[in-house]
Parts: sequence; structure tokens; C-alpha cells
Amino acid sequence: MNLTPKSTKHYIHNALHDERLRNAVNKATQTSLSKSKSIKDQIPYWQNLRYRAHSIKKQVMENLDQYLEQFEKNCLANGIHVHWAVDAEQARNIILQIARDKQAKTIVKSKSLTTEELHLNDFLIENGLETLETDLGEYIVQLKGEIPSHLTAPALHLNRQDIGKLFHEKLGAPYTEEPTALLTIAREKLRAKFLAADIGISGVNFAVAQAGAVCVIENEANARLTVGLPKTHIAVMGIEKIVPGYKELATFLKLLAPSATGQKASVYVNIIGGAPYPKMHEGPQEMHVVILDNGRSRILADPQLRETLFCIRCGACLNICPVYQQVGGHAYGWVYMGPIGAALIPQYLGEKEGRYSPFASSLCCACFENCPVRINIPHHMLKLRNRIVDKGYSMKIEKFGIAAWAFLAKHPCLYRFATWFPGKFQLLLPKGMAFPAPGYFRQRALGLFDPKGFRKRFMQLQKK
Amino acid sequence: MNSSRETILNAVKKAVKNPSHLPESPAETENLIQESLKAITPADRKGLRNQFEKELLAVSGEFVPVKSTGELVAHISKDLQNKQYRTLILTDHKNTASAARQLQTEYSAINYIRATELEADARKTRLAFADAALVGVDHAIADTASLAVLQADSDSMFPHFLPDCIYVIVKPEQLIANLFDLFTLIPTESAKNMLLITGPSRTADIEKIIILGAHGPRRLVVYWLEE
Ligand code: SF4
Repeated sequence: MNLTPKSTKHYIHNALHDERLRNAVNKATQTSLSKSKSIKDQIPYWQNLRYRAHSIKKQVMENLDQYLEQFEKNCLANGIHVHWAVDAEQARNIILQIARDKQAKTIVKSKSLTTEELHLNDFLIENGLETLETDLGEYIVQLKGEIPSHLTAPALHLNRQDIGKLFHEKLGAPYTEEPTALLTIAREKLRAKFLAADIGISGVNFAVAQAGAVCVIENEANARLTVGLPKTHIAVMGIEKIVPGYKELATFLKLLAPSATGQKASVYVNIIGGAPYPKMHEGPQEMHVVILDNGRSRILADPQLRETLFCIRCGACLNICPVYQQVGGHAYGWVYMGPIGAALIPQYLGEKEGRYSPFASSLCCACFENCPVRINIPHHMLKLRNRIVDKGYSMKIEKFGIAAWAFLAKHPCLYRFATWFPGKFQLLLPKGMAFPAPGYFRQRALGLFDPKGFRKRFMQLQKK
Repeated sequence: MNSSRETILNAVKKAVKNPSHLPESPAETENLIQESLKAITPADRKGLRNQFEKELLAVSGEFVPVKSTGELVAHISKDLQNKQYRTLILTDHKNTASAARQLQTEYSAINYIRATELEADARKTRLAFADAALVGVDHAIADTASLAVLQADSDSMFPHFLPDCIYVIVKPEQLIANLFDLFTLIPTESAKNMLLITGPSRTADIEKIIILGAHGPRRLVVYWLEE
């Protein structure tokens, strides 16, 4: 699936016409929100923990060079091979080289957005390596040839009928739409692959500098099997994943599960600091960490947008976003979606490529309220909008609209007429019909104008 | 010299020189967290145990309090029989040693696999299709019903996540209040390789419906051994 943020408008249009997709996304986000709320209500220190997390991230980012060096030093002391990748291409080649050195044939992967950012699966498959996603949602989207549509629930846009059909077509399984039966089909296929895999590739939720260890969080046990069964484990992390020590890790663990999945704690928290069981020869016998920049240091250098690197990829801002709820994740056109995706896309891919993304928001601020790390996403979107407009990348229609408004604002008589006219014109239309706004009211209803016009109404209100 | 390393570190060093002027957290944040934690943490051991039980049930775990190893063995034997399990993995953890010995002598209607006696590849394959395992853990966390397993060089970790069911023996002295306490208690070195387990494996990837036993155990039974 080749998506591009440049086509966001087209994807949004399609999504709004896809009732099945909208129902699936709506149902899933509402379920997540209500679960998350009920858990957060049981944690009286929630809001203060958010402040603490923000402070930790701020401190880490301001000293990231030192933490990265400390992390590397401790990893090396734990026998972990550390690789640094400036960009996606370097990271892909490092991983391919490890696979070749190990003469690997089969690779199992646990969910990792960073590797999605690298388009790693396609690359490894093109190079003759069987590469399988093992998280159920990721496995489903991989079979479908898609990318995840949510940070923590990759197949959220599909319903059970879609998945039943997919398993029937791609795996030759008898059609079923019973969720447990669907899981059993995937589990059986994947267990055999886990046992045969030469390499396990995982992402990293947090990298503990003081310990030289990575933390991978999950519910299914697929990450445990990915890092624990193959002889080689490759962990891929962005430079921003650092936490100083376990004390700070505890804060993020406490915040992540309620925000991401509405649980008090995720089922498995895997902390891996090198080959752990030398005596028992249990995997991994060899561990590699790939530390990826790929544009992050550029974001770090921008004091106004640095905060977007604080993201712990919980997906809470997606669930609460009224835009995401309507259009789902693919509409954003890249691997990061929702409010945080909208703020990250122009930063990673450039303001021209991502010129539409920060506008995919109503700026209602629900994302900020819901973010466990208190990232002020609406503020960052405004900043990005500003830059996009300054650079002349905004849409022609918008430029025209603003110019027209500026003209009217400078001519009070015309302005008065323009605010009075729609309400009067509306009276000529059949009763109850809204002012025609082509392209707008196909998906929603435009409210009726006050026939008095804005100025008159405003003055009346002021008098009251 | 690794040039990518230098490139990245130099870029980061340069980047962090620009101050971000982000707001500081309110001064009372830490005090408020401590006060809240204190307010919601049960004051005595019994309260902690009850909290652990409640949270374990909330995550679909099973809680069985037992007064002796004999009672524990009798309960497991019955469960193995009821569920028609045919293989049980045994580990060398200190919590499970005496129960494992007693089970082997008293209940013979099952195949026992001693995880540490198998060579690594064989262990992986056999344990991947086993029905159940009897395992120990190092700490239990009351406010989330999480179980912490620390690295043990001489023990196998496979039994904790490969079979369909895990029977876990927890002793009251292993119970601590919360995750913050856990990381204060464990030295960094010991936490380097650690697994935290909270309930049976699960997925909600199909229409947000929770299904237990995604890729790991479908059942997690905690025996609370209060001798
Ligand atoms: S921006 Fe905040 S809410 Fe959104 S995914 Fe990142 S951490 Fe979660």
C-alpha cells in the first residue's frame, strides 16, 4: 500500500464515503476511550503523573547526547551490539547485513512503528527473507498489503467479516467470522514460524540508559516469543526512546497502558539487556540495537516543536480526535497518524510533502487533554500551519478565501453586506434548506444562517 | 570510528544547545503523587493481598489461596484432571521445588517435562506444545496484580510464556505495593533482564473484543501459598 500525505484530501474523501470503515473506526475508538477513562478514574495521581512524565521527557531531550552515550556504554557492557543509523536506508542495510551474517531465512517481527517508518518488511522480503509480522493486528494488515491504521490497534479499520474473508483468501482457511476461531488460525500459523525463525526484530518502547536495556511492551506475548525464541534479536529504536533509569521507566509504564489500551498494566513488559540466559542457551544468544535518527535530531534542534518527540505512541490522541474518529488512520497518508501524526508528518517528510497534515484537525485540544505526556499538539499544529502558509504551500482556495476576507475587512460596507446576504438569500430557498455550499454539505449539514445577519445579531446581544 | 555514530551524536549535541522554554511542572507535583499513592495503598499486608486478588480477577487471572503445599498439589492435580491436560512443565524455581516433587509422586496421570533437563532447541519445541507449567516468580505487585520474573541464569524462561496455562506459586512475602516500589527494590543490575506478567495473554485486535490466549498462555492461575 503506497500512501502519501500529499493525497490526504483524496483519502479523506474516500474515507468519508466508506460507511463500513467509519463504523469500524468509530466503534473501536469509543470502546478504547471508555475503557481508558474507567481505568484513569481509578488513578488519583493521573494528572500529576502526566506532569512528571513531561518533566522527565524535557530533561532527557535537553541532555539526549549524554543519555545516548550512557545507553551505548551500558549496552556494550551487557554484550549488546550497538549500531547507529543516520537514515532509513542505513538502518535497513544494517539489519540486512546482520541477517546475511546469520544466514537467516525467516524473520519474525513484533509490532514496531519505527520499522514501519523504514519500510523494513518490504525491503527484507525483496532481499529474499521471509519476514512476518506477529502481532495479530499487524499480521492482518500485512496479509492485506496495508499499513497499520492506528498506533496501537493496527487493524482497527477492519471488521470481523473483512478478516474472515482475508484469512480465507490468503491462508486458505475455512471462512469464519468468529473472533476466537480467527485468532486460532493466526496463532497456529505463527507458532510454527516462531519456532523456525532465525531472527526476531522488535521495536523499543523505552531504552533504559542506566541499565543498557530495552523495554518492549505488549499484550499478546508475540514480542516475548519474538525476542525469546530466535537466536538473534534486533531491537530498532529512535533516538528519542531513552529514559534515564528504572524509576522513570515506572512512570511511563504507569501512563502507557491506561492511555493505550485501557488497562492498568500491559500483560507483558519485557526488559532485555543482552543475552540473558547463557547457561540455558535460551534466546537471544546475540542481541543488536539499531539506534535511528532519520530526522529526529532535526526535530530536536527546533525548540518550538521539540516536544513532539516526547510521544510514547500510546494512540490516546487518535482515539479522542473527532477527525480521526471519522476518517481513520490511512487518511493521513503515512505511518504516523492522528493528531500526533499530523504534527510529525511535515517534520519528517518536509513541509511541502506534509502541507495538508496539520490542517486535519479542528484544534479542539482534546488530544492535548488526553495525552499522557502533555504534548501540546494543537499548539504544534498551529506553528506548522504558520510555517506552511509562510512558505506558500497552503491551498489555493485557502489563499483566495483569506485574501477575500482581508479585502472585505478593509471595506466595512462590503463586509456588512457579505455578512447580511447569506441570511437573506436563504429565505428564498425552500424552507429548512441550508445555504448551498458545494462540496461541504455532502457529508454534513450546514447550519442555517441567522436572517438578521451577524452584525445586527451581535449588537443585539451586546445590548442585552 | 563509526561515522554514523559521530554524525548523530554531533547533531544531537548541537540540537540540545537550543533551549526549548517548555513549561515546568507545578512545584507540588511530586508531593501530590506521593500523597495520592499513600492514600490508595492498603495500610496492611491483608489489604495488599486483597487488592492483589481483586486486580488479578479483573485481568482474568485465577486466584487460589492455599494453606500448604499439600493443598496446592491436590488442587493442581484436580485442575489438571478437569482440564484434561496431558503435559506439565516443571521448573527449578525455589517456590516450586517442593510442590513439583510432591506432584510427581502423587499424580502420575500426566507427562512431566523438566524444562532444564532438555537441550535448548528440544526444550523450545516441546514446551511450545505443552499444556501447562508450574512456575515461580520473584515479586508480585498488588495494585496491578503483576508478577515480576527476574533473570535466573540456571532456570528456563520458556515455561512462563509457551504453554496454554501457567500455575504460578506466589508467597505473601513476595508481595509489594506498586511498580514504583518494585523498581526501588530491585538493583538496576538484576532488572536488566526481567519479565512483568499481568494476567493471561490477550488480544483485542478484532473489533476490540478481548480474546485470551493470543500467542501466550490462555490461563494464569496464582496459588497464594500462605504456609
Ligand atoms: S501524542 Fe501523546 S496521546 Fe498521542 S500518541 Fe503520543 S503520547 Fe499518546
